[in-house]
Amino acid sequence: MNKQIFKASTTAVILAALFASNAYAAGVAKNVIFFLGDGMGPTVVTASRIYQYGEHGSLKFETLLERTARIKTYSNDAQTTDSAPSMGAYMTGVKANNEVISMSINTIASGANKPSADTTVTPNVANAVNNCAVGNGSSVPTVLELAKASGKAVGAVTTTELTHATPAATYAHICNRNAAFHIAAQLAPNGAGYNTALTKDTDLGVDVLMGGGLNHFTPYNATTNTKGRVDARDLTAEMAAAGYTVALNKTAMAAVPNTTTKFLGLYSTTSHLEYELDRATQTTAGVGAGLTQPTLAEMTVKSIKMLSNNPNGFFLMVEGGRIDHALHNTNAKRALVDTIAFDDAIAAAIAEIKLTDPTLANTLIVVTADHDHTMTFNGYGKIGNPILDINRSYSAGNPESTDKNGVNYTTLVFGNGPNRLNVARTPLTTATVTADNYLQEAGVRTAAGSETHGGGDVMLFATGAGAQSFKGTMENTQVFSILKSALGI
Amino acid sequence: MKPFINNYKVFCTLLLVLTSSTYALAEQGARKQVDVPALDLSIVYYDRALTSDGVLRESRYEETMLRRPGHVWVARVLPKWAEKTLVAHEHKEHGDEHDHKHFNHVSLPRHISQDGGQVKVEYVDHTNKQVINIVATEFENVDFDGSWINAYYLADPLVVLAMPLSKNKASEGQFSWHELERKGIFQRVLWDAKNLIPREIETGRNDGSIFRKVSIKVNPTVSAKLPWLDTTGYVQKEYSDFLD
Repeated sequence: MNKQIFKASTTAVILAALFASNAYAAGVAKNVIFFLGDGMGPTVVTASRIYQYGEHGSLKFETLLERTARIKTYSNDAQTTDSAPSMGAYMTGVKANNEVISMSINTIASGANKPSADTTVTPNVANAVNNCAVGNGSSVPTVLELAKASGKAVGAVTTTELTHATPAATYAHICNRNAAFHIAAQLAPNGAGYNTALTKDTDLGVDVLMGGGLNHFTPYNATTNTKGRVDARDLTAEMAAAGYTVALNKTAMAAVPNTTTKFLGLYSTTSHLEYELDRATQTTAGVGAGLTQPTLAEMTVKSIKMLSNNPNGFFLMVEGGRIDHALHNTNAKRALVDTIAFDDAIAAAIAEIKLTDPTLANTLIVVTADHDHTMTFNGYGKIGNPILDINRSYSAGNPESTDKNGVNYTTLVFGNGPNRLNVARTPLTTATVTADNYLQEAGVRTAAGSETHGGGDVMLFATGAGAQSFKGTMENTQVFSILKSALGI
Repeated sequence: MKPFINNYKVFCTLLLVLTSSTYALAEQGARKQVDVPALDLSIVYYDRALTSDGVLRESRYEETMLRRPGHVWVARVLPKWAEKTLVAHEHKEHGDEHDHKHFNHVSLPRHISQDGGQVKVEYVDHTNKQVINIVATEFENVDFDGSWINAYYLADPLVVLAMPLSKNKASEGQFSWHELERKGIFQRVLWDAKNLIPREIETGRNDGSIFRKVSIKVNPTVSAKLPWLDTTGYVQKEYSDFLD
């Protein structure tokens, strides 16, 4: 066979397949809601399901979203990705290097490009100096930017800092995810560092933004805001001047009219929003800010109401971001409870959308994760054994499962993490392992909070307009193409 | 500067109830003020386990601790070669190489303080000139139980003094041995009434499968330097800053 002809015909077949796939879904979705469970790998989904609904039950999104696919998550330079390039791949179609936010494949995050502390103030402020060199890669358009350019409303909602990698990958471009102050500046219309790709004619900026980390938007103060902006800018004031309504707690958020079209919600002074386990159980003021923070479901529904003011439709990204953090801590309980809150947000969103789009004929809903973690599922536990508990066998008498030294163990453990005993494993009790703060045991010892992501594939679920394009095993970058095609942008 | 000595007041419960299953104690009754001396301590932690297949495993490590009014400073004693490795590793993590954020609470000194009833925990990273603050909801992630009493006294004096005097180990002068045994598990504490600190804590199983011992040495002098003050200009970080 003529080699040249073979190559040409192969290319033609591939192109035809791509066109067929895209043509099937092109422009059918007026709205897209992209839910990202950070670190919500397959075992997290299974364990959360058992935790809340039992083995025979289902998470809400498992029944509401009928299409499924398997997603390969590796980044350009790592078998195991971090959240920056994995979310960037979903949002831009480009697999970048680890720690890069929505930039080209040749962008370098490490070495001299890393942000550094600003030492002109005391105490110093970490990551306040952006060291991304000019010419170190180039911006790649995101789905959110393309949707904005097409005249749609756009939003990003998260339980992490608003400047954290996942939300940042929707609206910002920078060589290193840790340059949070410069990521925040990309949101402020008319200000230095603003991302002009967020402008559509006279309509400037991301329409709805919610998350934590007020400090990245407000001026540094040596006593009251030691993690604030050293450049003394108050981005909340700048954004208010540009037409945003700014809310700093759930009461203020709830009071904002649904007719609002520009909204910034920052619900923590520093750092992320509370874990759902802590937020939901807090009854008095004191440790934590749970009493003042909305649930992810409340944020999501409010966002949909505000974004729906745009007759051209909207693109909304919603992140359950603290699933990942609890997993880094090898604290399975908080991870599962945050996953349930994420699930509740998805169900609430679909219920809200169905008020105006009852068959989802105009709305595509996607739920996925950016990467896995190292949590795994041990033993031959009996049906009904609590998922966080000591593993008890299905065999007669349901004895506790034990290691070779006769010591019992839990069903959920991690490949790596801080809880690995120096000398020998010791017997566990139900009270210990089901406590809120219990850290599951790990095979390889790491420092606190340093449990790694896992390199395994994750699952994607979809329903609504254009959902049929998600199937089989896919590169994470293909998700971008389907989102773009479905929106017709 | 003369260190703070014998001027710290603490309130202690007088009446105690010992629960049989966990040795936990519930506080009841009135409280009394007592003086607590400032101390410099050396603490050795020893663990030994004999597994069912005949393998003996042991571990030992040492920490230094400064106890001052409202402050506890604890630092792991690292071998010199490890200190150099740690510095090199930290430079690599935070310097030239592609990195992953890193916080090792075991090797960094920790500063626990109490102010207005609130317990504050922070780690000091001199290599990278940063202070890592731990919010209460993250205490468990750095193996801190949130108890100021446990941090300050190493063992709750009320719990220890509620334990019966040992029949096997003699008490003398300022030192008293207290001992409890339940279901084959023992706990023995040598309490130093003058310094208000345990000097030995032994726990284990009577079958010899597990034995743990904490040995506390009181240094003869109290250092004037307060290392938690030596962080001027350091970057303020939070535990969550190290989560991706």
